[in-house]
Amino acid sequence: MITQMTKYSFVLLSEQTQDFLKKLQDLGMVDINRQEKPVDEHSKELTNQLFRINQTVTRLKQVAKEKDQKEKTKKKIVPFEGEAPSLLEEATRLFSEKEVLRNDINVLNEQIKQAEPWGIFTEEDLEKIESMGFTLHAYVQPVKRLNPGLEEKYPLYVVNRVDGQAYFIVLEVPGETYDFPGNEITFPSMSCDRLKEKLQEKETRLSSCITRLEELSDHTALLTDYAAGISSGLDLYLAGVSAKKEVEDHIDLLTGFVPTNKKKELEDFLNTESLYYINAPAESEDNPPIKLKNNWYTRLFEPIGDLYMLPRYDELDLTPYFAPFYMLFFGFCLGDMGYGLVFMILGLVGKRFFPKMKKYLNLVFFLGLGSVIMAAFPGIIFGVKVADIIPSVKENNTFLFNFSDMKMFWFAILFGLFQIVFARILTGIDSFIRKGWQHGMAPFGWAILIVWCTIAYASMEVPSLALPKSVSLTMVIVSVGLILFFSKPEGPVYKRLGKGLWAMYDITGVFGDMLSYIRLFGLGTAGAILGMVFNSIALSLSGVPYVGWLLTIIMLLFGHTLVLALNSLGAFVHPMRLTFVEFYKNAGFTGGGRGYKPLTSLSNKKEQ
Amino acid sequence: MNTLPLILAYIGLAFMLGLAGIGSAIGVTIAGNATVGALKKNPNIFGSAMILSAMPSTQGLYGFAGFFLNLGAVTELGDALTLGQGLAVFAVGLAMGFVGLFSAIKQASISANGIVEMSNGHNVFSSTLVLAVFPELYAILAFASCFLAMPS
Repeated sequence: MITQMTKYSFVLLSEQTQDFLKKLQDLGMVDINRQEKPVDEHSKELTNQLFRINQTVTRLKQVAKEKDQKEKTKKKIVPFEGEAPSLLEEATRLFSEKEVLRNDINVLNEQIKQAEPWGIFTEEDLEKIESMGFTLHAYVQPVKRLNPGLEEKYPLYVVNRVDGQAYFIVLEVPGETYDFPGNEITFPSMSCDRLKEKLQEKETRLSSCITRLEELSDHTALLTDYAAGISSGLDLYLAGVSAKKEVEDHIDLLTGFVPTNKKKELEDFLNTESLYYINAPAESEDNPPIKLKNNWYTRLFEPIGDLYMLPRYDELDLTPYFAPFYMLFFGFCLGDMGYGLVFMILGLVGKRFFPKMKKYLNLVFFLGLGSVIMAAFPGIIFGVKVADIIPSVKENNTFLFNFSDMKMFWFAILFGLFQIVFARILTGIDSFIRKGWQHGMAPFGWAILIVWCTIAYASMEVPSLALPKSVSLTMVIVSVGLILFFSKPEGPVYKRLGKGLWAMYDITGVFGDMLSYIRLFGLGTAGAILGMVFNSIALSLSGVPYVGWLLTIIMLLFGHTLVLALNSLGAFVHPMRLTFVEFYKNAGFTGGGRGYKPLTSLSNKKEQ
Repeated sequence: MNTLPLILAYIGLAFMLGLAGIGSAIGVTIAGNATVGALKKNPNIFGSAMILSAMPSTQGLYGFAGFFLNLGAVTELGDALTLGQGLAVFAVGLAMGFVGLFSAIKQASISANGIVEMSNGHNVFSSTLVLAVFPELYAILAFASCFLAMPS
């Protein structure tokens, strides 16, 4: 259900605006029409600052996580002397310093690796050689290929022999032609002991840098509050600049929306202010914000609906209607009572350990319940058919636990058709109430036609389902008539008829939608088969001497965890598509509403 | 002994399992590579990117489930398998294999695009999730056809 909104228009003197908005922000209930994105240099600066803080908070949280993994016992928190901006400044500096130091350390390690074979020398040694007029050339060659005759021909000195490689230098004598054959390499500019000293120094600096960052990581709350303050400030600023200017910029016109049930509270405040305002019930043309108001069960499914888009103000909120379907579709796709029970237990137990995630864990519980219900039809538990382990189920031919694969196939299609018909009836009733009786007729026509088609097809297989001729004929005439004449209820009859004929083409869409529900069967069956395969692999392992049962248990745990994870992904996503594409389309959902975002300050944000 | 129906059926099963599996292997690699690249830009999207990367893995499972269903039926019938039934398994095997192969690759390209855009800061996770299941429907239909054409 969508909360009713009241539209307020405020007329203010320009100099009053910021003060008034600040008070509205403290009140925390008015959604002032404002820009969502930065509009000028100041708002851009605030946005960049917010981005920087959020980035730093994320990086500090990563540091805190690494620290927790490193240290088993919690260290005492070192207090931070200063305000959030200095914390931000210091953390940013330390992160870039850490980056530079890590690069330097990598480079030094590489240099040490190259310098080590050349042994220890000083810069003075190199200068001395240079001052004598010699130029030093360095080479590396396999020892085997180093011709001993070369030492007599050239001023060559083998510095080291490591891993079959000879490291040697050749001096270029001034005035003589230098023609030593071989590929010259760069002689290290620094001795390895000097490089190691530098490495040590960098590592010490990196270590203290990390220690300081770990200390700072205990104070991310300071930065989060700082970000919330800037965010409120930005919101306030954008609301101010979005005001419509009148009378040579002396008057500001602001428009905002407030939930109608909070109207009195707002007006009590407005009466204490010296300003002129008018109010009226919000109309869809005003593009009011959308605030959903549902019961506790439906609220669990709101995050799923939010993944797509919010309804428009003049539309029906479909969350209460898709919620039970989603739960059962999830169960159909998961296709196993055992997995359903795992979800239910996770949902129940998880609430004890993660109270903050209560809402999501309740959803997990209900999705599990859906799985238990839907998988009870074929009767599959952890990849085993109930009928196979309890023969009386098969013998007594009970309704539950006995659905064959073929029955599940048709059940998926029928369930889909039921949702399509439900969506059409829902649109019909909603259009009837909101727009007038003529607008509600075509969806009812479609609902009747789909039901008739279904029964007609089913009666070809099961003759007892056939409708009496008179009923059948009436259904066809009424449904086609409603579609033809009421698909576009405005205009002259010939136009309505033409548009109605065009609307009949939608029968292909209905057929496509119906086929789309086969996925429920496909996913459920594929999951059940995979579970069955892991069971047979696990049981075949039980024959292994001594450790057979242990291997069986390991294989069962591993296999079913894998199937559960893969199936859950499919079971989550595919019903979502059925909801957003098939159900929403048949329910005439357009969407595109904007969320209710009242101006709030840091204090009332925290209270919420 | 007439072995032609059995030969046809087993070739069909090989296509069913092999091509669908190859499709999934290529698909998850495409999406996985996109994730690795995207993580350089934005390491916070790993959870969502991983979900999108796993999307093309299901076609291989459909291929396997179809293989498992039909293998049981073919083995049970053995020499009693008629030419028509053998041909039917061969045909649905080809269908499942090729549809699985292409649907996984195409699904991966949607997932990969979504992952890249997420790394650029666009909140397209849910829309990518919904769009990415579009090509999968056809693999599901192919799997359902494996079930419908199963010899009995």
